[in-house]
Amino acid sequence: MDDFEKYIVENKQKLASDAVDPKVWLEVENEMLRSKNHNYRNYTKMLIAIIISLLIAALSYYFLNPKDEINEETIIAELNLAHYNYPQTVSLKKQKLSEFTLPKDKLDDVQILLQQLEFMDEQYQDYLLYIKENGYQQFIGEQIINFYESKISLLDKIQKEIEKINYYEKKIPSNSEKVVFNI
Amino acid sequence: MKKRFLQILKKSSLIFSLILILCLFFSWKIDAQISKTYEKEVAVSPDVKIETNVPTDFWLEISGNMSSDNTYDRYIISGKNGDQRLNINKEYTIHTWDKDVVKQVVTIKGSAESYSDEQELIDALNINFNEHADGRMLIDANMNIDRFILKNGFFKSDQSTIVLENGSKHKVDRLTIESTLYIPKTANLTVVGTRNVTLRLDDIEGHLELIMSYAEVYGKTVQSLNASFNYCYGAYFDRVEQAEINAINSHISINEVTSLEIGKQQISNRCLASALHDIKKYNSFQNSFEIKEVAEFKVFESANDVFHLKSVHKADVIKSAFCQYNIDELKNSFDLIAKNTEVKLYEVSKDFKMINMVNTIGEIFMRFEDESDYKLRLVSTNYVESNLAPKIKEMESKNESEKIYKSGSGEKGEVYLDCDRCKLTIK
Repeated sequence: MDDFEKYIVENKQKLASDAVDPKVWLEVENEMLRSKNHNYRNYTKMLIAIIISLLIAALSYYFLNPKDEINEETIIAELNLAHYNYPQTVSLKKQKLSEFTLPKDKLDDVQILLQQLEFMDEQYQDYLLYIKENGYQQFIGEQIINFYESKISLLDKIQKEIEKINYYEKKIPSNSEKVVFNI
Repeated sequence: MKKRFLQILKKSSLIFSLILILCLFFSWKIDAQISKTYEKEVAVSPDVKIETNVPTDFWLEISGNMSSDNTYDRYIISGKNGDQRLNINKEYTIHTWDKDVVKQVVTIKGSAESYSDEQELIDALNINFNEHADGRMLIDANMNIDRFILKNGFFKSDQSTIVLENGSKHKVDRLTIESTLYIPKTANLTVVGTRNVTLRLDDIEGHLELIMSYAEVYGKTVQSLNASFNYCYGAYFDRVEQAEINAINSHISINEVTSLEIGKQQISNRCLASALHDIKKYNSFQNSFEIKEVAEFKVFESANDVFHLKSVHKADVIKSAFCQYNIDELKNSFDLIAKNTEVKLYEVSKDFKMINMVNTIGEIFMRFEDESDYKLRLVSTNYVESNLAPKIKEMESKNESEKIYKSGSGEKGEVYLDCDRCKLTIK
């Protein structure tokens, strides 16, 4: 047995009774709890922040979403019709038509076709109103496709008829004043 | 250790069995659906006047996310996650029979949150045949259902509700409706359908009135027809004795018709989404007509219509603009007052009596049957680019305003053309 072992054996009782003060343990425990509570508070704060952000996002989406703004672009996007270029085709055809002139006395005749165009546009407004009131539905989408196709074919017809009028006007010019075709 | 493991296994299998039973119970609950066929029949007089709407004709109130599927035979509305909420059979068949009885059969299938909700709905639905002040029997293809409401939102799942005519509301998970009507063959029937429907009709010996928008109609034999069509993809009939058709942007096809009148009046306001629309001047426009055989064909007002007539006995066009008349066979006569109109008569019978056309800025093509014998009068002051067959010979005219030609002896038929700025081809 060496000196150290001897010391242990001799002072065994003394060493055993020399326990750590419970206050120290309590302090350590409190420190750990404080740290845990601190983490918990941090998590709670983060959670509240996330919830508030989500709420703000949802409310912004609800209030800022332009529900009432149903326009041609929205419909086209909704219908996935962009590749058909309907509005562009209509606009190009209208532009082309507005370059024509024709005898003033023939304007009334072409007016018959323009009235059909007006009627179709009124129906289109009905589709938009329906979508505004009831949400987008596929059958309305199909009616809008039909509207565009009919409108394009009507614009073609108008062009063909103006060309026909002007063909004869060149052959036997009338005294009627030439006016620009407004569409 | 082994004993403890066995105990755990026993407990787990018990819990698993319980979960399985619960799952089965709930899946049964989810799949459970009501199905009831409602029938009502009443005795009527043979010439009863009946007015019915169509199954798709009830008001939809949608708020939130939804999608609809407008298939060949179904109109489906689905909610937030694509779950079907409303499924309407678009095919509305109206059968006719020899009995003096009106019978409606409506099959409702669906489910609600609870068994009691389902029972409540089943009990609340009923068929009512109402009588209008003018004596018409009014039949609702959807019984007493007034509205279907579908609501959902960002934090809210689908909530669909059926509102009945008496205002009572019933929550449903989903609903399927199929409707069929039986009427006497001799009844006078009015069908009003303004939203995506396919109407199928048996033979009708009484008067048939159709007020349809965005619809397809398949009719068989009809004695008397008065139709208002607005954007109808196709209206097909086998045989009609007498028809008056007023239409916009529609396609109409009839195999055989004795008397056909087009554009006599404006289409019914009930066809239009908004009664404020002014249809403007022309009663019939932007339609295509495919008629195989018509004895008497009369156009009152028509603009930008295309007519394909296979065989016509007598045609009379009173007011027409920007139209096309393609006639495969003209048997007797054709009288036309038009503007900017194209007329193509692919074969005029040698027995024809009269062709009389007043037109401007148009094109006229006529092919006469061999051995045709007729006199042709052309207004000489008109600008006409003509191409006449060699057999047509010019005759001396006593009237300076007319040029006269003849084919054969020029004594049987008569053709008069007043077409300024026209292209004329006669073969």
